[in-house]
Amino acid sequence: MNPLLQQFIQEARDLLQDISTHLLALEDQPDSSALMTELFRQVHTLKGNSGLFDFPEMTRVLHAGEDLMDAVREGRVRYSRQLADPLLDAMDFVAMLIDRIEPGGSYDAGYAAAAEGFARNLRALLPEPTVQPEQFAETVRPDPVAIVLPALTGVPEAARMAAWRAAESGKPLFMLGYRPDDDCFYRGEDPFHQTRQVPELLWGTAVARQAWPPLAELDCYRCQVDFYLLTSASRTALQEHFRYTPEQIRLEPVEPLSLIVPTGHLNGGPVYRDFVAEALELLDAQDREGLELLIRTLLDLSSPDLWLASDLRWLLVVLETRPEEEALLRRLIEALNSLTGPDLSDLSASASLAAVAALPEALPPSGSIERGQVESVLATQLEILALPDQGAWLEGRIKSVAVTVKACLGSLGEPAAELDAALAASLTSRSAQPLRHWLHARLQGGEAPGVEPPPVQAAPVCEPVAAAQPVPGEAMPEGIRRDTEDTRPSHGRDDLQPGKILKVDQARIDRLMNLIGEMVVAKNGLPYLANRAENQYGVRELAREIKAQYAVINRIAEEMQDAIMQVRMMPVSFIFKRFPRLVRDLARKLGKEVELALEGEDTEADKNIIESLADPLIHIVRNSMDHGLETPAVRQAAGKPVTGHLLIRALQESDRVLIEISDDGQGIDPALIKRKAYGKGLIDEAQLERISDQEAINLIFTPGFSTADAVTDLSGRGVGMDVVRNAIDRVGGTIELASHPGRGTTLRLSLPLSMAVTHVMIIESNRQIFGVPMDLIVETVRLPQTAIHTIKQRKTTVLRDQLIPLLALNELLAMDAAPLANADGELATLVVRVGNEPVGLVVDEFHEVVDVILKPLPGELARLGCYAGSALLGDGSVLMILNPRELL
Amino acid sequence: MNTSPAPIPGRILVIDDAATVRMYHRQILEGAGFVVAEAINGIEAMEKALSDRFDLYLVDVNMPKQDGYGFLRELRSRDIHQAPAIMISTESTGQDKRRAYEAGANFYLIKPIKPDELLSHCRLLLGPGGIA
Repeated sequence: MNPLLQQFIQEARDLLQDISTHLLALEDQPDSSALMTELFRQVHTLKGNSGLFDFPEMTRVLHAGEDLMDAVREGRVRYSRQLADPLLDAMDFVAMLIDRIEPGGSYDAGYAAAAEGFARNLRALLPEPTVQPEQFAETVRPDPVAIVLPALTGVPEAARMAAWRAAESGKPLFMLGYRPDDDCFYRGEDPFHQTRQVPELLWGTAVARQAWPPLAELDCYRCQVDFYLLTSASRTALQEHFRYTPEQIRLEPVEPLSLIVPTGHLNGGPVYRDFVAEALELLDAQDREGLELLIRTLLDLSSPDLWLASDLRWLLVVLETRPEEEALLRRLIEALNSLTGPDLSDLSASASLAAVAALPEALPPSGSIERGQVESVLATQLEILALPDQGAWLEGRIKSVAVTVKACLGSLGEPAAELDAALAASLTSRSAQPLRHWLHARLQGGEAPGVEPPPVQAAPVCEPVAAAQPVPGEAMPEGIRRDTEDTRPSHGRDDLQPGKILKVDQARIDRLMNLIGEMVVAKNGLPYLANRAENQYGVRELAREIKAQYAVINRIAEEMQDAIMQVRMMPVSFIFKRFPRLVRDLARKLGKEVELALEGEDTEADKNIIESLADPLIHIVRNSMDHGLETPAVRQAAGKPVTGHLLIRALQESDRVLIEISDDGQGIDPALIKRKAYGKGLIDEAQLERISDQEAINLIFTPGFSTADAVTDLSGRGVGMDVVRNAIDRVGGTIELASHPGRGTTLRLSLPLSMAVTHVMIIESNRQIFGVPMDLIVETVRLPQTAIHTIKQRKTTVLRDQLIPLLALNELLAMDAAPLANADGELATLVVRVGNEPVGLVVDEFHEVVDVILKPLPGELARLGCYAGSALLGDGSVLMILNPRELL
Repeated sequence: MNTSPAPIPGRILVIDDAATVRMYHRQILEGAGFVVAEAINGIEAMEKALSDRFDLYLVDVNMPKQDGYGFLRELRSRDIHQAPAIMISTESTGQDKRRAYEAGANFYLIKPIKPDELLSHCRLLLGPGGIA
C-alpha cells in the first residue's frame, strides 16, 4: 500500500483513540476548556487528513464533528453526555471506514447514507444557525457565463426522490451549474474535487461544453467541462463552498414538484386501465393503505425500467410524504392512462424549473443474448435430461429439450447435425440418456462453451488452436509460476531482509528503555556510596575502588542508553514524506504555485519526538501555504518568481534536532499583528506603542491569536501557532520565528534527540533542592549586588548589553526567605530562556547537573503547573523539577 | 453487448391469471416484434395450444383451476409441436426448479423479470428465425 495512506491510517487510529479518551475525560470534567480545545484539534486534524484522500463519507462525518466541537469550544453548545454519544458513534463509524480502507486502500461504495446519518445526528446538536431566509429572486451575482441548467429529467429518478425527501424535511433544493474557467488548471484548481466536495450533494454530472474536437486538436490543459449538481445545502453553504469562484456558478432554487417526472421505457400498448380505475376508487374512498398495497402489487409485477414503474414509485413517495395531496396523487394515477408526464405546474406556487414533461425515451429493451445465458439454458437442458425417465409426458419433455437445444445452438450459429439422431435414439428407447450423452459430449468438447471466451461468432474454425491452449497439464505449472511471482515481491516488501529485521512491539522497547533509565539513575548512587565510604567509614581505598567501578558501570550504562535510543530512532523522513502530497494538494486548493524542497530527511530522532512533530509541522506548513506564500498574480506583481518556495530542512546539532521551515512568501507584517493583537485584547495600548517588531511577530504564538482573516478549511479556525508551540514545548523543544516582510518567514524548531532522560541542574533555594531542565538554562552567573538595578519596581541586571529581569525563586514559590548571597556578596542567578526572553532566576546555590527520569506528578498534583514532575536521585531523595514556563 | 438483432417472428403464449402480468409481458414482447397470445389458466392455455401452434410458452406457476405444472405435463403428453416453455415464479429454490423441469419446463425465470432478461431468453429459446 501507498505509505502515505498507511501513515494516514495509523495516525487516524491514534487520533480516534485520543478522541475517545478525551471525550470520556470530558464527561468527568465537562468544563475543561483545555480538553475541549484538544478534542477539537484532534477532530480537526483527522478531518484535514482525510480530506487529502478521496474519502468523502469520512470527511463529511468528521466535518460535522468538527463543527460541533467548534461550537462546544466556543461555548455555543454546552458539552453534555447527549453530545458525547453521537460523537463516539460517529468516530466508531470513521474507525470502521479506516478498517475497511486498510486492506485495499479504499472502502466500497454504499456508506454515503450512513455517513449522512451520522453527520445529520451531529449537526442536529448544533445551535440553529442564523440563516437568512432564502431569497429566491436574487441570484449569486450577475452571471457572465450564463450557464444553462439542464432539465430535471436529466437527473436520475433516485436522486430526484432523494431531493424530494430532502425538500420534505425542510431543506432547500438547488440546481447548481458550475463552469470552471478555461485555464483553471493553471491556477491549481481542481473543479472535479471542488464539485465532489459540494455539501449535501444529491446528484452531479460533468458535461462537455461542446462536442469534443478531434484528439489532435484537443487542448487537454483547458477545462472544457461544465458541472451540474443537485444539492440540498443552503444557499449560504453553497456560496461559501464556491467563495473563490462565485462568478463561475449559477444557482437556481428547485421547486420540489418539478422533481416528479416519471421516466422509463414506454413499451407501447395500452396501460392496464383496471388499475387506474381501482386506484382512483381507493383514492376517492380515502383508503391510502389500500392504494399503497395496490401500487406495490403492480410495482412488484412491473419491470423497474418501465415508465409505469417510475410513475408508481413516485406515487409511493408522494403517498408516504404527502398523503394529503390528493390532486397530485390523482394526476400521477391518471398519467398511467396516457403514459405522459402529469402536468403539475398549476399545483406549484413557483415552478421556476417547471417540469419539462418530456416524453420518456421509448427505447425498447435491447434484450440481446449473452453467452452466459446460452450456457445457462444448455446446462438446464442437461439437468432436465438427467431427471428420472418417468411420466406419460416424458416424450414431450425430451422433444421440448431437443427443440430448446437446437434453438440455443442456432443462436450460437452452430450446427446441430447429430442432434436429430440423438433425439430419435432417445425417443425410441423412451429414455433421455442418448440425447443427454450427446449434449454432454457436445458441451465438454473442444468448442465447449465456458472454456474459451471469444465472441459468439468465432466458434468452430479455431478448434485445434483452442484445444491446444487450455490443456490441464500445462495450465498447472503456469498457474504455479504466476503464484510464486505474485508472492515473492509482496514478501520482499513486507520484510526487507527476512530474518534480519525484527518487528517488536513498541511497548517492549519502552519497557527496556524505562529499565535502562532506572539503571542510569541507580548508578548515580555509587558516587554517594564512595563519599560515605570515605567520609563516614574512613575507607579511602574502597571509596576509590567504588569510584573506579562506577566509571565502568557509567560507561556501560551510557552505551546502553545510546543503544536503546538507536533502536527508537527514526528518520524524519517518516513525517517529511507526507509533505510533497500535502503541499501539492494545498497548492491546488489555494491556487498557488509552490515548490517544496526537503533536506536532511535521514536525520534521526526518537520516535516520540518524531511523532510529536507530525501535527505541528502540518500546521506550520499549512500556515505557510495559506498565509505566507502568495498567489502567482500577487507574486508577479511584487516582482518575485511566480513559483513560491517552501523548504523543510532537518539537521542534527549536538544533541538537538533542528527543523527549519522557510518560505519566500509575504512574511508577517508586524503592524498587522499588533493591530490584531490589540483588537483581540491580547496587548494593551502601552504595549502597542512599545512592542518591538520581533515581539509583535511572536504574538502569533499567543493563545487566541489567529491571523487568518478568512477561515479556510486548511489552516483556519485559529488552531494556530499556540497549539504548535505547546506541542513543541511538551517534548522539550523550542520554536523561533523570523520573518522578513515581503521576503518570507522562517520557523526554527529545536528538539531534543530523545525524551527518555532529562538533564537537569540541581539548584538550592531556602535549603531545598530543585531541578531545572538544562535545555532552558542559558547560563549561570553570580551577580554582585551592585549589578542589580531596580527599574519600575522590578529588579533587573544588564548582561552583555541585554536587560534581563530578575526574579527570586523563593518569591515565585511563595517561600518567605530572602535570597542568600555567597561570601563575596554575590547572588547565584540562573539565566533561563522562556519563549524568547531571557529571565534571571535568583537562587541560593547551584549544584551539579544530573540525568534523571522525569515522572509526571500523579493525580491532583498534576495541576501544579509550576512543576514539570519529580525524579528520584541516586541517594534516594526526591527532586522536584521546576517548569519555568509556568513558573514565570 | 451486441447490436440489437432484427425482430424474430415467433408466437408466444403467455399464461398467467394476473392480467397485469400478461399486459406487462405483452408490452415487452410485442414491442420486440413477437406475436403474443394470452391465457388465464392452464385449461384455457391447453385449448389454445391445441388449436394454434406456438413457438414458446411463458407459464406462471400459481393459477386457479389448473396450475403451471399441470398445464406443462398435459402439454408434454400431447402429440403436438413441443415448443420450449419458460416457467415463471417467485420461488427460487432448487426444489421448485426441479419440479418445473420435471413437469416439462425448459427454463425457469424468477419474478420480477427485467425486460432485457425476458426478451433475451425468449429470443434464445426461439432460436434464430424461429423454430421450424
